[in-house]
Amino acid sequence: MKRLALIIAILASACGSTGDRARPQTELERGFFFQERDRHGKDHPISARSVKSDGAPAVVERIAHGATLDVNSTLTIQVPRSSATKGWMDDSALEDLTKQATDLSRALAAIGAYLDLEAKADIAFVRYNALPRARRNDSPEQDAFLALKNQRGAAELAMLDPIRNLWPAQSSEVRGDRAEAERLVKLLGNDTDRPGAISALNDLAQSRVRNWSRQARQLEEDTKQALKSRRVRIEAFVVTRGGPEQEHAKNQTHAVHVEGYDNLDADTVQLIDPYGVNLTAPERERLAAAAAASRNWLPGWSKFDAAN
Amino acid sequence: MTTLKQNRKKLNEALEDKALTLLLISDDIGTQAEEVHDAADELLKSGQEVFLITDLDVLTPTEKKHWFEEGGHYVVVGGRNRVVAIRGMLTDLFLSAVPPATTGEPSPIEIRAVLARGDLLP
Repeated sequence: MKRLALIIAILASACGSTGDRARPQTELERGFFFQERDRHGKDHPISARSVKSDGAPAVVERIAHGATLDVNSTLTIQVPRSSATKGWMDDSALEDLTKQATDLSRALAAIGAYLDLEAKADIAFVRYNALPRARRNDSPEQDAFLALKNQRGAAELAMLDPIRNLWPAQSSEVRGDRAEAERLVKLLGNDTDRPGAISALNDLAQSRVRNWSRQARQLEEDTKQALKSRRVRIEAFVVTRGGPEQEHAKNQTHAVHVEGYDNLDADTVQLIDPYGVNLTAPERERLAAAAAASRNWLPGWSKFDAAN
Repeated sequence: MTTLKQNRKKLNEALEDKALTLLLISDDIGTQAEEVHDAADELLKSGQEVFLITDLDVLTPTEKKHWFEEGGHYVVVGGRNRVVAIRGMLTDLFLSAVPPATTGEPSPIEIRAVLARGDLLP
């Protein structure tokens, strides 16, 4: 009985010898995930997912000597867009960043209205505070102040939330720009410094979008180059099991063509004779011709031999 | 600056006043709660107050459940119904540390943002 198997060898430039492959080094390498899909559509992972759902880094388990797949299976290779790639290849992230910059610019343009609201809320609070404590709750003065406070909060968040999204407080990547944004926001409260601070905040936001876009393009280019330098080799072999009388043939592997996996014609794959014993078709023809010729002159030769 | 140790009279008054937005901070060793309190104190707008609670025993069991049960946290309470607008860990109100420092500085923008969320409550 014969068993047909596919031997998958994953070749990567960072790999060492075939028997002891190097562990994945780059984000891209860690991003590879290999799985086999059988004829029923069921997936069988043959490597660890590089990025887990919680974003924790994981390790691709390289297959030292290749993985074995059923011939009726499909091999899928995934390079996930995940936290490992930090969304660099995701256009929607750039669109979101651009929207945040636009929102910030819009909020800064309306900062006059915000400051006006703040002043009105301050005046309303003074009026409210002038009431005796027992009469404050549910008073018209409280209603007026709460309405202005609510509007003030909305206007303030319209300005602060884009800043928080553009330069997250906990991000070490944009730590310097966030510190600068904090400084500029503080200057917004000063009449003299406000125009310069608004201009500087707008510039900072545009710079953030440009830098992100440049990083995204660079990563895309790096990814293309990295993918070009990697190959996946798929080979198919017949593995002979052999019987008791065929002990010599047991577990021998012979390369074969597998439709859809290689570009060889079905009939061109043949066993290579390592000892030169098997004859090619032209050799067999020449041998047959020689044999026929031998049979033709053999009777004559016998008569000649008998006469002598 | 309002620090609550064992007497919560000021907190009761503030909670009764439905016009106020309150930022409550629970203190603990190593949480830089006092730095956040001091930074917030300078940022307060009209109708906003900040309290540093150093002894959580001044809180009722319900308040502990809805606000915080341990140090190093904050909660913003406001609106006519005195409900929670936002709460979280104090580290959320900090900028990431610049090495070699292990702890950052309080972020005025983050503090203003949580107070503004309290102002939004109806």
